[in-house]
Amino acid sequence: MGYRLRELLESYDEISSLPMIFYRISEAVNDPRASMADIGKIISDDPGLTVRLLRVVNSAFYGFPSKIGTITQALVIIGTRQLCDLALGTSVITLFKGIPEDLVTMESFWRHSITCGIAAETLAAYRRETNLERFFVAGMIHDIGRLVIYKKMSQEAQEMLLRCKSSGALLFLGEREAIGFDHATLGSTLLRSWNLPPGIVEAVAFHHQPREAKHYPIETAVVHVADIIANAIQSGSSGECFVPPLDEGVWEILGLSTSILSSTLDHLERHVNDMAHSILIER
Amino acid sequence: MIEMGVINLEDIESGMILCRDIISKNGLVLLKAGQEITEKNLGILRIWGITEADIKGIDKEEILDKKTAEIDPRILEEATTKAREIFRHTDLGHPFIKELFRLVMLRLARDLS
Repeated sequence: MGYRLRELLESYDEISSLPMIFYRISEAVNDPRASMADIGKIISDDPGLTVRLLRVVNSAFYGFPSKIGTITQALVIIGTRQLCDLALGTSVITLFKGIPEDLVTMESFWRHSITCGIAAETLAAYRRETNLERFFVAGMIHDIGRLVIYKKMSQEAQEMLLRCKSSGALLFLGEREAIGFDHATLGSTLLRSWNLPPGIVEAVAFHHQPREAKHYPIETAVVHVADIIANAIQSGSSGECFVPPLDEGVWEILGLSTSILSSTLDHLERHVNDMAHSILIER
Repeated sequence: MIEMGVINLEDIESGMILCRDIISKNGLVLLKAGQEITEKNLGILRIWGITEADIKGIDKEEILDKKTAEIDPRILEEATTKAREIFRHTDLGHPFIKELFRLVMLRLARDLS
């Protein structure tokens, strides 16, 4: 089983490495001598990324009163670490091309991902967490393992999807049964090989069994609950047809009142389209 | 937390009487118990990110029942059936799932009508 998982990722050249631009950004962020201008220069060298980032920070979701026109401005207003997180989350989208769309359309897949990302960020905001972008990114890439499954095993994936749909079973359980592990394990293995922050990796790894997250229980619980919300309102889909079950005691860990749900759903209704448009265009 | 009387901000109307102080996350008392809520107050509560309040003589279930009673029964049934199908793997008795289910059902009903 371990062999197969590794094999799946290794044979996937296109995604086994992140675009160079991301390494350059992380290197600069972690280099104490690098100035904000240096980081701005690296991002600005990639016109696609620049356009995407500016569109995201200017979306109604951020709601800044005036237009952010340059990456340097965005770095000052949003923060270096946060902009780097956003750069990562949005560049991952460009990595997955040529996935057969008869399983799940990419539009629908990323809509689910963006919904989960915004829901995670909203829940974290209600908890008064800081650096909300990491929650957005964790939510945004929580199902990335599914894309590997769809691309590398489209035949098996198709059978799995149809079987779950007709029998009314949960897809992540179907994955475990058919291939021995689920998309969460696969996705987190990939993200770990990219050296993503451990909090994001753990949240992705355990978003279907959040009580197993030992180091980042809050991040993981937030993504678990955000995924439930995204599936419940059926805003896009990563292949799953049903609301995944809530793990016992996890809602209680968050310490939130159920009265936040109504405004959270309103918030999603207002912002998902806008954010999807900002991120998905010219992907 | 006692759920009775605590209702969502969207269901609060001006003229209702507060049972308990409304305190912001950073400890500021925004409104005092016994106060009658005005339209202006509601705007302030929204700005401060308050999502609920304890209201005198109000029962949460009663408000929710009233809301669903306004929906055409046929649409309500269709929305409930669809929501139940989507939620089939969840425990509808859990307060979080229960509230999510209710909101999803109302949204499905809205989209159907």
